[in-house]
Amino acid sequence: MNEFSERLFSRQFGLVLPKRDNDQIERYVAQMGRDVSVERVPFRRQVDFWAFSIATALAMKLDPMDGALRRWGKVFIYTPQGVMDDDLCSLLAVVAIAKLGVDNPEVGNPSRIVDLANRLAGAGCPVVLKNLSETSLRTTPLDRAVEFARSLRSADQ
Amino acid sequence: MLLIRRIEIENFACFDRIEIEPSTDANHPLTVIRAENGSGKTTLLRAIRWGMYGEDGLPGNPSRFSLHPADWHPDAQGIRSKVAIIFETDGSSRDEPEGNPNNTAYELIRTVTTVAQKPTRQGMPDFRRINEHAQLMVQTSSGSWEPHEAGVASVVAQLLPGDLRDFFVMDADEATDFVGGSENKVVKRQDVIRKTSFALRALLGLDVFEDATARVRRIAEEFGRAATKAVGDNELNRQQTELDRLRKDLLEVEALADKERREKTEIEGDLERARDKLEALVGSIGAHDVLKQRLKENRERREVARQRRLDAFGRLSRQLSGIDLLASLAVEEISTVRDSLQPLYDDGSIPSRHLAFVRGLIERGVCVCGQDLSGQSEYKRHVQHLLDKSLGKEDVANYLAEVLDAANRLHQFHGSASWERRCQQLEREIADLDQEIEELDTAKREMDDQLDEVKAVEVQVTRDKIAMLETQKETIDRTLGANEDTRDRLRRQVNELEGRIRVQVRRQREAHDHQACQQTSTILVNILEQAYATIRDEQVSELDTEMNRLFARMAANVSDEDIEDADRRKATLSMIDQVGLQPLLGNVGEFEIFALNSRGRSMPPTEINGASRRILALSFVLALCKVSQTYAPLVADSLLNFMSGSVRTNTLRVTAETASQPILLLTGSDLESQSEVDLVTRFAGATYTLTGQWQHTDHGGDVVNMTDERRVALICACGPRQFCSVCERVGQAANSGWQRNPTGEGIQ
Repeated sequence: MNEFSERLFSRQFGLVLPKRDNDQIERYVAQMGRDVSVERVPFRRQVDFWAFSIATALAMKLDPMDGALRRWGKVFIYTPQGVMDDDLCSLLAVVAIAKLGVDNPEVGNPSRIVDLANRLAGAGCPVVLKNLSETSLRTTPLDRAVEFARSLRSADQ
Repeated sequence: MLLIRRIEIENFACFDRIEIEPSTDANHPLTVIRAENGSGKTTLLRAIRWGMYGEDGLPGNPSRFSLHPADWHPDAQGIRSKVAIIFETDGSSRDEPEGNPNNTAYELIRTVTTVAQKPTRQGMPDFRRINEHAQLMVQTSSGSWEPHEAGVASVVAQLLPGDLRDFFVMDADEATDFVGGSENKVVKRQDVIRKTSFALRALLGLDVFEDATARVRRIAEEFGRAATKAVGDNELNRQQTELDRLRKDLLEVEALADKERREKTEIEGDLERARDKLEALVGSIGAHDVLKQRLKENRERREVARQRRLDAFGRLSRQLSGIDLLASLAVEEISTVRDSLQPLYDDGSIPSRHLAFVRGLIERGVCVCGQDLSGQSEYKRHVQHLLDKSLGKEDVANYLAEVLDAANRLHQFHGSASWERRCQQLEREIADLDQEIEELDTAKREMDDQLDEVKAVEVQVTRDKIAMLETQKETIDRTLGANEDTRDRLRRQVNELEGRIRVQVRRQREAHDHQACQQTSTILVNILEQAYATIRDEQVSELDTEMNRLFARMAANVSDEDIEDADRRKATLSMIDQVGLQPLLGNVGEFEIFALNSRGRSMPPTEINGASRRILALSFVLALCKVSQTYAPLVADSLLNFMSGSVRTNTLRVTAETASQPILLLTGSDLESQSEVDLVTRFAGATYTLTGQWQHTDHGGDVVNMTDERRVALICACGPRQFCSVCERVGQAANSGWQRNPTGEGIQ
């Protein structure tokens, strides 16, 4: 556990995704007790989908969601339940400084870091879902997810 | 009674030189030779058989069967193999059960030399055997040994006939030939009947009666002819000629009917097997093993490919949450942070180093300018106040340094092609696996089609065969019926003519003496036939009872000591309710072992399981020995295979109690329960353990000590749950259930 994961796991922070997209998210994230092929359900955990949505928002330079979280978001897990690895925690800390500025007094506040991450996830989520749900007989959601990631990478470079 | 005193084996297969002295103690008749699988049990059995019967005692093609040691390379000088069997007999028999008070001891010595065979023909062994020699020595009253005048063959044939070698020196698999063979080998019904009948007639002495009856009948006919000739009457001569012709015709018709009856038995057997096969085919059971095996392999390969495909998908899915992808998508933020924090790091603002330096000055109590910072000085309080105010900034500075470090680490993923490479590799792997699965599916469809086609063809072929056999049976039934009618007609004619001739002959005074003799002979024939029938029926009935009793004791599913006789039958293996021996209709002197289920239906051998077949064959062997009062050794290999629990214990107990000199070759697993060890302790007068040196731990086995570097089997006197330096196996020394046997060491 590094400096950043210690901060994020020190208290209970809820990880949030848009509540209106809940049903669609469940189509692409593996659910306990549901035996569906990985081709159709490309994300093993909700936190993986959450992180991918954040990365999508950053790559596409989307603005974080506004407004109170509880109005548009739904907590799918709390941080003490051990869902984020050290690298992801480090990335979130870096993103927070980039977005809030070095001189911001709340720059190391874990509550603020998670809040910013949730808002970025809220902005990226609909874009990810739109790309996954495109209908094509020849491609699966996993194919489309990988292809979408490829397009984001090439646009960045 | 015949008892084996000692067996000596030299240079025979895996045996360098071993000696075995089976128990001859009437109270402890059992001899147990324990050996793990592959340690030489079957070779020992073959050595004894070879010693007794020469090459007739070897399985398969005897000339290709190697008797010489495994590590001997054929050379011109050759190697001599030897088996010597010392046995004694008191001459007791059914007629004289008391026997002779002065036992006669014999030593049967058989030797052969194996030399190289050059040049070797394709497929032939590179050795040949020369100078096979068998000698029978007999011990004189003075104790010295001299050659027996009657020779080996006649004495062995008299004491243990070669045709009964499976009876007395049995591989339990071969002994099941009495009940139609083992689960892996089907024996023709006619062969089963021939083998069973031979044993029965030989041991019960029925063949002596048959021979005597035939001889007296021939004498009576001779007397009849002589009486007729003595009359000198033309009419009588004509009638006698006619009678001779009728008798000749009768013999031919009887022989023809016997032949057709045997053919009918064969056809019925073939028909039964064909119907079983058809039933199996229709029930989709059994046939097409090769296709099924290929289908199974196809299924297994498809499952492996499917799992690998799933695994590849899993790995591709994990690429979506990999930090290298996430970091490459957040490259702008990472660069921004690096650009902002690197100057602060470069000018020393992060992490904070100054405050640590000031804390060090306070701890030392002196400032760099020489001002006193110790104790309660005002300067110290001032410096301490400023230091406390700066602590929050120090935390922030240190945090920013950590963030810079993290940003530098994450920046390395920018522009890296490894994520793309991994994804492409996984996509290629998935595409390859898709193609492999598709090919396997295509192959499966083809094999399914073949299977359906083959099944249909085979079912039709089997049905045609059944139809053909049924036609053959109908034909033979008709001809057999006609021949039996002819036979009956001829018998009547013979009887009538004999009657007429007898009447006429009786009138002739000159033929009176001959006639009297003929009558006496005819009466004797009748007496012999009645005596034969009575003895046969009584002994077969006694044999039936004894077989049933022994079978029920062995097959009881509780310990033989725990149940009363009345309950014993209930405890018998549920499938078989009664066993015994039945004479074949119309075939005088031929018998067959039968088994009935609880509904009284005869069970064909194919419906009896492996353990029951062994018990059935063994109950026949033991019962026949007991009823015929044949006291001879019973050397048996693999007797307890396929058995477990109380059945195995009961079989061991019944064999030890019933056989005259049981010599059992058993594996360790045959003696794994305490009740079997107790039985051996109670009944065994001699125990041995065979150990193959090739099973040493150096060769992948579990024998602890390498006593002999050669590829030989050694023997020691250890019993069940005992070990010595020769036979010790890994784990036995630390196992409290096993004991070291000091007396067992050094015996080879």
